[in-house]
Amino acid sequence: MKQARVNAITPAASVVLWFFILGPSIATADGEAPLEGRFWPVEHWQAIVLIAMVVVQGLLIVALLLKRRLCSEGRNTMAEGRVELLHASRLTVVGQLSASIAHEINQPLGAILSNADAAELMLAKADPDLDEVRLILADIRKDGLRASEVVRQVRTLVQKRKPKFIEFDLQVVAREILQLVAPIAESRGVTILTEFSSEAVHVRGDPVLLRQAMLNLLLNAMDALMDLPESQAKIKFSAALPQPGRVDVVVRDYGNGLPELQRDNLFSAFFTTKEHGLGLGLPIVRSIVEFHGGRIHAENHSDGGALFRFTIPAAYVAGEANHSAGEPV
Amino acid sequence: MTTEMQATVHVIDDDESLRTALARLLGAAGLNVRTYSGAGDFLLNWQAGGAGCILLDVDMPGGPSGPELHNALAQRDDALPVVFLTGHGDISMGVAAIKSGAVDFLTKPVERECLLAAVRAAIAQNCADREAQAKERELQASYQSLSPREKEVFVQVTAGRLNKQIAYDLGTCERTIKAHRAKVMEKFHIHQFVDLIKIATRLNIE
Repeated sequence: MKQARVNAITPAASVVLWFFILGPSIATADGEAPLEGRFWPVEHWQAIVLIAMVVVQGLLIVALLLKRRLCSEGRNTMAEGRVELLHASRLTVVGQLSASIAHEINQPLGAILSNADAAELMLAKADPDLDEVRLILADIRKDGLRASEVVRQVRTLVQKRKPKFIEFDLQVVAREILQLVAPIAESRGVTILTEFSSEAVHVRGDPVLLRQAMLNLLLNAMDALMDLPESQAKIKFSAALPQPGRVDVVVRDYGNGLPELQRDNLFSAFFTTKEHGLGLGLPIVRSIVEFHGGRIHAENHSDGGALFRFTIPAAYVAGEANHSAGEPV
Repeated sequence: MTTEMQATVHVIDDDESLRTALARLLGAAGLNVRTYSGAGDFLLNWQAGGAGCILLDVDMPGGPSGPELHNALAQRDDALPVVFLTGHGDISMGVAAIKSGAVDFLTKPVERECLLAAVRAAIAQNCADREAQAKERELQASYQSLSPREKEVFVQVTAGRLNKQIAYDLGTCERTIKAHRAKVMEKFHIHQFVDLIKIATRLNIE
């Protein structure tokens, strides 16, 4: 604001000054002596002031320009830093999921290879069953698409990108995450109970970021259930519209809950209770939720276990007049 | 004697697409194949007793895992040799599988030669095992068919004692011992004394 005011004042002031400085020289221009001889002795003070004014103004302009550039650079670095951080944390998540990703890719690849081998053996026979070979080719195509779909999903998870806001159904993304997490939950003996509403839950936001937020919460919940008996190894995961215009995502575990001391620090960066944790999971979830104009909070459920709930604005969908428009930041 | 032609490869994998592909490949290579969608499916539908081997997926969500099924089956007398197949194997997993008696530990995607070699090795192992078992059962049956006195003579003879020593111990004459010995050889269908010693070793008789 200050900068704008200074910018407005300087041109006005300079016009006035120029008028005073040039005024006398124009008035005396019709004297007898030649101009060259008279200019310096008569007008040198005006000339000096004039030059000084020009220099000062020039310096001021340069300084303001520099300041503006520094500001915008700072903003850019901050935004880049946030993108970097999100990217890094996505890479961590991909690391945790690597076993399940490898499984998901190797499964179709194995089928493709074996199918191709089988077809080769069949065609080498004197009387090959061409119908069978056609079936094999169709299956190879299907598995090729399946593998490339997995690769696409992993790519969207690790890609370095700027957040992009679109309108989408949060439940679709939630189901995709469940597929990704299911093998890990299975191997750890954790049951994930889901509670999705029958209607679509439209939000306006970045699906990749929100996927990351939900993934972090689920992986966190699973870590909390480590070494607990089967009766406690449960997670409830729900995404619903409790009120028009509001979307609630809840991840609740049935573990031992959050110790009182940790609750204040939960969302601070580099605060961790895990041996190999970085302490970035929950801060990232919070930054994503706040980025979408929402809020997150954690509490202990009255029946035991920790509960994380984040709330973001729902998107306005034509035909659903009772849903107010979501206004992301 | 069982051969590869009579053996069945039991393919257990939760992924239908891969299961079908493996069945086609093994079928095209001239093997009999049966497929199962998981450990439960296998336990319900497997007809025990036949020769063959199991091609077992390690990670099967929604049921016992491959190693769990393997360990459960290993308790049985008619257990089939197992070839493991995994989407993401690591060294510890492979070592654990081999230690628990698996024939091979392959990673997906698996090459045809590796897969067929492993499956054939497993079948060959099963055939050899079955043959050895049949032979042992036969020997046991022959041994059980010996009279108590013949058993006694058999034990003493194979322990390296002379006929007359045995005759003295049993309070009879050498001629009777010779007759018993001949009877034992006859019941085991052998002609040479050295084979009798081999049988004794096999039956673990001292």
